[in-house]
Amino acid sequence: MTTPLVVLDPTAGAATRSVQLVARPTSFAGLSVGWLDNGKPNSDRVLALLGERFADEGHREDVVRRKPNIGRVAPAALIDELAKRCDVVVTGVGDCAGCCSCTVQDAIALERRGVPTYVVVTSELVTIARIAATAAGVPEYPLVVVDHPLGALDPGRLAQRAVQAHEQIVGSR
Amino acid sequence: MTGTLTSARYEVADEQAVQDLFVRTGWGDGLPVVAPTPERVERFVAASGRAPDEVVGVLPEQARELTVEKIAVNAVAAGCREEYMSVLLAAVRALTREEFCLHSTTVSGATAPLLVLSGPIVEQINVNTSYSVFGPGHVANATIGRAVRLILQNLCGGVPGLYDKATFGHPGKFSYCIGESRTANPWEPLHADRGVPADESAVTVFAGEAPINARNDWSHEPGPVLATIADAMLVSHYTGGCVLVVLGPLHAAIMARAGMRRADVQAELFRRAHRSVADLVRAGRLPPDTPAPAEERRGVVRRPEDVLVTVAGGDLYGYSAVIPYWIGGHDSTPVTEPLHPRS
Repeated sequence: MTTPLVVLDPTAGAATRSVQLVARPTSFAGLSVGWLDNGKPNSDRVLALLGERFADEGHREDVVRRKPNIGRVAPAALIDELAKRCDVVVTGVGDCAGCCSCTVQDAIALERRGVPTYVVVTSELVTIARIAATAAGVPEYPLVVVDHPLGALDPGRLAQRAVQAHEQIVGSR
Repeated sequence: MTGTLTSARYEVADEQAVQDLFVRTGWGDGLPVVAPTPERVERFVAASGRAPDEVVGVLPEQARELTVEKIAVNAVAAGCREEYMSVLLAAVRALTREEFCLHSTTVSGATAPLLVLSGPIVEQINVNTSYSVFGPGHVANATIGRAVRLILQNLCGGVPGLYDKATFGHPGKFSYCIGESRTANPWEPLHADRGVPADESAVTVFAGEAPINARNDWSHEPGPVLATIADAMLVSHYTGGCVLVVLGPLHAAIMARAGMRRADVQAELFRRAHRSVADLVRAGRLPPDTPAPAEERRGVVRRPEDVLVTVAGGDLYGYSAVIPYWIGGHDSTPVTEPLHPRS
């Protein structure tokens, strides 16, 4: 006979805080739109291409910013600035394990400050984005998913990614 | 005291069932673990002198907190001795400092946090600083490094394959912990340059790829030895991180005999560890359309002080080791923490 053993769980779940998502606008017309580039190669380009596709909606201004560190959450000052100035923000692109969860956290930080935020991730990173969103208290956070990869794409394929993102954002309205 | 622990409890039939539980849940690293029973964990918490629910560090990228109790559970599982708790708490404080960028260095790239222990702690807990310093055979090195591994998986999300998407990783992801030699180091301890008084003990954490051996046995002069070490640095990234150089005792003695200080070694390695843009293009490290003059020199590090120099290893052969940095370069900075911070 062996004696039963008690062992302790070595894991710690994320400290979940639930967040109320902000209603998405039905159009960008007249809005100040923030574009938060997470710094990954081609993210700036694909966000710019995506912005062009929204041009016909007539938004008021573009606020384009790039994070200083790809692999960390955005500085609070940057989130505050975007929250103060923008009616809606698009951020991305989460195409690696490190940057993807940070980008999702940035998006949810903006939601916490009352700004509806679209987060663009690549298809290979959906699980990681989901884990990050769950950790941040929004397991069902809507993701804009474009095909992986992104970093080494030529301009033509990059434009296709922008089309994918555009269709999903418009389709979700 | 039992009541103070809040971790979920699992009752299992026997030792083998503990191993099965760790395999099934993905809590382990593939090697057998020591059962983290409440009694053992309590002993480790008590040894830390802290409350079990004290938060030692936070990981904002994953909205997580690392408490004394959870660190202790993983330390027990890794086979640590309770007297290692002060090292682990200091390591967690260092790892969770923003500038280390633990989240991204854990889940992408090819690095593991290398711990370099320096000061009297090296003798107090018998950390290997000599032969085969990156290898097995010493409880402190093996289990402190392993505890960090389990902490990364269980508290920091770095579950291999699920969240940790490293292409290869490297063997140091099992355990990556060395001590700085107290006898072969001709200079002040590593931590003395990094804000901790020389006579104290400290842990320095560095997001490191696998060690590259730099062998030079033929020269008794610093120049050729430094050339060999700098050459080993050239395979690193060119993204502005810090490189860790572990001088072997024979190489350190050559530098010391020539009257070089640590800062001189740093300056000389910084000066030498450059490649031209043309050379990097030739090696496929830069795209051919790189908008820079072919003769432009690119450095592995940005400043002399970004070459961290420590001394360890066996003293029979003329080797040093270069530890390249994480691909994110300057996004991750090495951090040195005293074992016993003065409040």
